[in-house]
Amino acid sequence: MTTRFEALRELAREAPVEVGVRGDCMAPLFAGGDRVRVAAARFYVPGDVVVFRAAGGGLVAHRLLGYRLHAGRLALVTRGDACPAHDAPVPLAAVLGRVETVRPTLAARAAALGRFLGLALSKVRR
Amino acid sequence: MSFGAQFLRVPDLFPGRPAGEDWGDRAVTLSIAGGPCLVSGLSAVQERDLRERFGGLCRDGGEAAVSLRVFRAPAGDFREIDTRGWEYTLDLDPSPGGLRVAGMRLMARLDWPAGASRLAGALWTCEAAGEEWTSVCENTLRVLTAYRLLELGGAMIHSAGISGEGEGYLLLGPSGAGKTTASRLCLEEGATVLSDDLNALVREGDGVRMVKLPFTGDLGDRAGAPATVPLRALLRLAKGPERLRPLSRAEALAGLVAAAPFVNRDPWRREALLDALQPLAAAVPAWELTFPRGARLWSILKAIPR
Repeated sequence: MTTRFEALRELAREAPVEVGVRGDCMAPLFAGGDRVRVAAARFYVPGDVVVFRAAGGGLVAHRLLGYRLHAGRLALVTRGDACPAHDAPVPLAAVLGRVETVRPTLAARAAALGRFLGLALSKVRR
Repeated sequence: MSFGAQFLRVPDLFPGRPAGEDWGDRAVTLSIAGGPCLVSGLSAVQERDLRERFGGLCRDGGEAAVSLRVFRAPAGDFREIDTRGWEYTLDLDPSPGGLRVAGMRLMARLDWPAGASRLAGALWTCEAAGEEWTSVCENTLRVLTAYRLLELGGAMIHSAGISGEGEGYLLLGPSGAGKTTASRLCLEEGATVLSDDLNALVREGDGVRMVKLPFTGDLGDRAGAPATVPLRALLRLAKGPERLRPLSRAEALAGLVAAAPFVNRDPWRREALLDALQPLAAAVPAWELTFPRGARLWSILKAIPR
């Protein structure tokens, strides 16, 4: 499975890779059956919709909220727009790229960052 | 640009199902990697032109693994295109249940009907005869063959297929990487070329066989090349001084995916494509080869470590 994902990453570095959307985690932005183009980037910024390899091996497209340290390494904090909870930390090595067609506005990036700060604060309060 | 808009005057009128007015009642079966393909709905002239184009691959009747039914379409359905300085790429619209294809004077669809035993294709064109007709048909057959091979766990690969001494070498690389140049160099040294454009890979036991396809590039059809040969190595071509670098499994797999036309643009069959290509990439050694003009390429290939 690693070889397959590494191969996809190689391809996404060269040119955008098209991925089919299943499920409604990113509704109303995407619906099941949509196709999105994913391209690797040097940096990912809160508000980007990133595509990564989930623990089960499948590809997931969720919104990047921010970064945190996980097992001594930087990891992405992500969540689907329509999901009630955020995902497990996503290692950088598990990121395929970001959805090219989504160009978040400044307000959308601020909203993503706000969600991230809210999440961080709730952890601190606990 | 939405699907088909480049080629069709009214993309919304793309046929929703394989139906229409046949050109005639003639048919021909083509022996292509992936199994015999029955092309039906032809006029007598279209049948004759296909037999001239595909020669010894044509036969009458018999069992077919895939089918392509040809229908008439009015010339007014298609846009006139100025092809000067233009690179032709078919417009594809894959979906979980099928594929729509738009191109120059062609509309086609592939469907996987529930319970159907074979992949079914349909082609609508206004081309009645001649080279224009055979080009339209061949372009559709290329797509059909790519999907058929994928169904079988194989792949059609944009590549130069070199063979000699009973073994084959698949040279990968995008257009301009040097596949045709490499093919010519190998021919000069006595090797043979299956195709300098598209070749099929199919699994056989623990190994892989390279199979000749009737889809060629600048070199044209190479008489005398074997129909199939066991694959000894994959080589990704790059420009630079002579060098041979081993590729990782992931690099080899990425190279094959990038070189699998049509199906690599289909996100709904990406898992199937990876399922097919991963064992192929693992079965033979893969290298990145850079070579200068005038290199003794066939000698380099034969000396590749096993």
